[in-house]
Amino acid sequence: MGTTSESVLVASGLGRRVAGPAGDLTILDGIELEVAPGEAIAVLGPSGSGKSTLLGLLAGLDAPTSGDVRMFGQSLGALDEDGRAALRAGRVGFVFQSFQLVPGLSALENVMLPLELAERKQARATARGALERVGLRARLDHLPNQLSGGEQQRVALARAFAPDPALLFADEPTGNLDGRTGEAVIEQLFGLRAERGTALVLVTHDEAVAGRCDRRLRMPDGLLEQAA
Amino acid sequence: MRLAFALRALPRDLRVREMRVLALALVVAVGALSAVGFFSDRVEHAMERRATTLLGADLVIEDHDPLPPDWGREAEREGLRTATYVTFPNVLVAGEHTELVSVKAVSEGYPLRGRVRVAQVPYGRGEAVAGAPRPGTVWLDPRLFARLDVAVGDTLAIGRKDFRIVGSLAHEPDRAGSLFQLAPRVMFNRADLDATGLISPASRVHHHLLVAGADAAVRGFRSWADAHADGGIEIQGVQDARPEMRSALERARVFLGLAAVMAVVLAGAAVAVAVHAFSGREADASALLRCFGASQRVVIGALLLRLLVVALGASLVGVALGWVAQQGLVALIGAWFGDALPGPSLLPVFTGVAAGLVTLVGFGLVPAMRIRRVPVMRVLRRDQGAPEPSAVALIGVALAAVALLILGQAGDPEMAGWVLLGTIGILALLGGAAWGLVRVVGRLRGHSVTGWRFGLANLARRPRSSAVQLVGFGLGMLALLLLAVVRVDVLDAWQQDVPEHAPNQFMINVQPADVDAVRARLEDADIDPEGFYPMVRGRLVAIDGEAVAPSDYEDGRARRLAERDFNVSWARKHRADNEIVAGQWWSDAANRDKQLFSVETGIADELGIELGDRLTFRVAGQDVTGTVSNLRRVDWDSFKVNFFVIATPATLKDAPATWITSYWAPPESGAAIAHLVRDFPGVTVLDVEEILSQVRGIIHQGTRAVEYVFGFTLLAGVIVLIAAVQSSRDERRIEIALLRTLGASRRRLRSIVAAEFCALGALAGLIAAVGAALTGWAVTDRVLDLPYHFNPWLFALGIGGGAGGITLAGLLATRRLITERPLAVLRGD
Repeated sequence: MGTTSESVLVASGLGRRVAGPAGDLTILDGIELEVAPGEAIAVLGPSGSGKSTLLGLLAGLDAPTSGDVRMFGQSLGALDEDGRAALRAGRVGFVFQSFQLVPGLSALENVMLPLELAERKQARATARGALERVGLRARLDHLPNQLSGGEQQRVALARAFAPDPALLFADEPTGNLDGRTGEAVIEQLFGLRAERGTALVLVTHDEAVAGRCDRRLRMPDGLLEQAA
Repeated sequence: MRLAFALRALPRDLRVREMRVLALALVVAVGALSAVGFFSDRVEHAMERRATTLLGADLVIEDHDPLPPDWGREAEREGLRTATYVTFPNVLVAGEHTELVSVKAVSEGYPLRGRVRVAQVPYGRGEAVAGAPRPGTVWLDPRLFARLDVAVGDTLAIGRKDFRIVGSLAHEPDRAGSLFQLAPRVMFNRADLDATGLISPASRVHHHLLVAGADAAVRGFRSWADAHADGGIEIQGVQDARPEMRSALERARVFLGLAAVMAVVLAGAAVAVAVHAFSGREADASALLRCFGASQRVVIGALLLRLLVVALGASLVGVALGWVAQQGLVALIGAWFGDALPGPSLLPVFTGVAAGLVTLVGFGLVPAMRIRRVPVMRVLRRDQGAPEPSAVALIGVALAAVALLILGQAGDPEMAGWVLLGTIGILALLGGAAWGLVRVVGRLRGHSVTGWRFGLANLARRPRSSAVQLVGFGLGMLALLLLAVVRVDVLDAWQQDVPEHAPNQFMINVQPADVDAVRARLEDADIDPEGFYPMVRGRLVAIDGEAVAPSDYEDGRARRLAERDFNVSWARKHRADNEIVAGQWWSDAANRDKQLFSVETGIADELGIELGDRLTFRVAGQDVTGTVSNLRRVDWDSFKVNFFVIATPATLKDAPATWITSYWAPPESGAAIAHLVRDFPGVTVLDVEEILSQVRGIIHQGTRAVEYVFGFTLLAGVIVLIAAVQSSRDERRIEIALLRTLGASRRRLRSIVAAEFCALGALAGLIAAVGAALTGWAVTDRVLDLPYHFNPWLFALGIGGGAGGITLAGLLATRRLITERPLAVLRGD
C-alpha cells in the first residue's frame, strides 16, 4: 500500500506487545493502514481482537512498541504526549462506547471543551448549535447523570463534531445502547460526517454499521486484512 | 463467607492507596498515643522523682505528737526507706548574742531525696553531702554566723550539749514550703537530741516521717496512711509540694496529652477521608455482590472486617513504633532525669490497640456504612455512585471517639472540652468556608471550561469532594501552623514563665529606716530590686465577727493558715501583675482612708472568705478590722514578692512593719550580699536559686518531650494532606485523560490542577491561621494560664504557605496522572 501526501492517517508496521505472566503477548503486529481525507473505514473483529488498542494507537492515545503512525503528515512517534495532544486539538474528534463525558460538566460545557482547547472563538455559540443539531436543545444545562444513555452519546457526538474535525475516531459507539437508540445515533453520526466530509475510523463488531463505511477491515489475531 | 471473602481481598487491599493511607494514619495515631503512653509514664515518674527532692522524700508525714511506731513498720513492710526528723523553735545564746532559731534534728538517711549542700563559709554555694550531720556537729544557717558572731570550727552550745560548727547550710532540699516563716535553721543529728535536753512534753515540736521507694509501694503506703491519719496528721506527697513545681509538672502533662490528642484527631481525619474514598472505590464490587444476591449486611460486614483487620495490624505496628519512639526519646533526653527512667508497663500496648480501633470506628464507621446504600443499578449505570454519608453523623461519632480518647489518655475533662470545642469550631469554620467557596466559584461556571477558571469552577462542580479536601487541607495546615508558630510561642511563654533573671533572692526584715540605705547598697552591687514592700505579721482571728479556729477547717493548709501568723502588706496603688477578679481596688482617695482588705483568691477559697466580709487580724496585740473590698489573683510562679492580704495604708498605719524585697542576684554578688547582711544584721536573705533552677530544669525537659511528641502530630498533619490530595484522584484521573484526548496540553492541565489546589490551599491556610490563633489562645490562656501573644506571621504563613504548599503537593500528586497515557484510563485499566 503506497503512502500519499494527502492521507490524514497512515499506519506502517504498527505493533503492540504487552508483558504478561507467560511472557510477552502480541496484541497487534505489522499493521498497515491509510485513511484518505473524508474516507470512512470500519474495523471489524470479535471482542479481544485488539480493535480498541489499534484505535488508541492510531489516535495517539497510546504508544506502539513498533512501527509508526503519521497523522496529518506528522509522525506521532516523533512527538511527545504534549505534541500529540496539540496535534489532536480541534482536528480530531472522539466517540467512545462508554460516552466519557466529564461528570461535573453540563452538556453544553462538555461540548465547549474541545472548542476551548483548540482556542476557537464563539465556543459557547458553536457548542449550543452542535447540541441543537443532535436534538438536545432542551438539555443544555443537564449534567451527564441526568441524561439517558442515548442522550449522553448524542452529547458525545456533538462534542466530537463541534470543532469540525478532519478525522473522527469512534469506538463501538452503539455498544452501550439498545437497538433503536443505537440506530438513531448511527444515523446522526453518518449524517454529520457526510455534512462535514470528516474522515472516520470506526471500530465495531456490527456488520450493518460497518456496511455504511467506504472500506471494511477485519482484525483476526492482531492482523488487519481487507474484508470482502 | 464474609471472613473468607474479606481475607481473600486483604492482600489486594494493601496495594490500594486509600488503604495504605488508612494504615499509615492509624500507625501514626497509635504510635503517638502509645509513645506518650509509654514515655510520659516514665517521664512523669522521673519528673515526680525530681520533684520529690523538694520534699526530701516521696511522702512526708507530719504530726504534733510522735507518730505511733506502726507507721514506720508499715513503711518498712512496703519495702520503703524511711528517715525522721523533728523541728522546734529554740533560742540560741552565744556570748552576748541571742537568736530565735528553728532546730531540725535529723536521723541517719535524711534526706531520702535530693542532697543537702554545705559550705565552709557563710553564703558560699557549698557542696552536696550525703546524709545527716555527724553526731556532735552542727550546720548553721548562713545568717547565724554574723548574728551569733561565730565561724566554722567554733563550738556552740545548744541546750545542754556543745556542738562543733562544721558548715554553713547552703541548701536544704525540703526547706521550701513556708519560706518566710522560717527562723534561721540549725541542723544536727537526731542522736544528739536527748543530750540537748530541749524536748519536754510542753515543747512545740513537729515530728516528721520521711518515706521513699518504688512507686507502687509509695502508693500502697499512702493509701494505708490516708486511712490511718487522724486529726493532727498531715501527709504531703509530690503533688502537695511547692506550687510552682506542681504547675510546671501539670503543664508538661497537659502539653504531652495535647500533642498526642492532636495527632489522633488529625490521623482520624485522614482515616475518615481514606475510608470514604475506599468505600467509593468498593462501590462496583458491592453493587455486583448485591446483584448476585448478597444482603446489605454481608456487603457491609465484609468491608468492615477488612478495615478491622488492617486497623488491627496497623495498631500493632503503631504500638511497636510508639515503643521505639519512646526509647529514642529516652536516649535523647533521658540524661536530664539523672537516674535511669523506670521501665514502661505493658498497659500502653492494650490501650494503644484499643485507641487504634476507637479511631477507626469513630472516624471510619460512618463513611464505610455508605457502601450499604450503593444502588444495585450501578452494575448497569456506572454514574450511580455510593451516596454521601451524613456529615452530622460523621462529626458526631468522631467527636464521641475523640472525647473517649482524650479522657482515656489524660483523664482531663477540661482539656477534653477545649479540644472538642476547638475541633467543632474548626470544622464549622471549614464547612462554612467550603460552602462559601463553592457558591463564589460557582459563578465562574460556564464562563470558560479550560484553564485556571476551569480549575476554579471544578471546585463548584465537585462540591462534596471540595469540602472534604478543604477540611483535610485545613486540618493539615492547622497542625503545621500550630507546630511551626504556635508551638514556639506557647513554649516560649512557658519558658518566659521563669525568665532568665527571675528574682532568686528575697530580703526580709529590712527596717523602715534602712530601706533607702539597703536599696542603695543593692544598686551599688548592680542589683535591681523588684521594689520594697511593707510587711506586717498578723493572725486572722475573726471573719464577720466570728472567731476563727484551726479546727473549723478540714484542709491541712487552711488549718495551718488559721493557726499561724501570716504576712499582711499595705499599698496605695494596685500592682499590674495582680489581677482583680472581684470587687474594686481602692483607687480613689476617699476609699484609701477606709479600713479595707484585698485578699488573694486561693486563700479566700480555703478560708471561706468572700467579698464584703469583715476580717479581723491581730497585729502586735491589737485587733485590726476591715472589709474585703476585692479579691486578687496572684501569679505565685513569678518568684516576685506577693501577699495573701493587702490592706489600705490607713488600716495598718499604726502597725509595726518591716520591709521585703526580691531581686536577681548574679552569682558574683555573694560577697556584696554577705557584707550587706553584716552591716544590717536584722536583714534576712533567702536564696531560692535552687528551686528556680529545678523549675527551669523541669520546664526544659518538658519542652523537649513535647517537641518530640509533636513530631507525630506533624506526621499526622502530612498524612491528612496526602489523604485529601488522594481523595479526588480517581475523579481527576478520568477527567485529565479525557482532556488530554481532546487535545489539552500538559501546561493547560497543570494550570487547571494548580488553580484548583491553589484556591483550596489559600482558603484552607486562611482558616487554619484563624484556627491556629484561636487554638494558641485557648491553650495558652485558658488551659495553661499563660499570657498569649498573637503572631501576625500566622496569616502570612497560612495563606502563602497554604497556596504554595498545597499547589505543589497537588501537582506532585497528579504528576503521574498528567503523564499517563489516556487510553489505559479511558478503557478503565
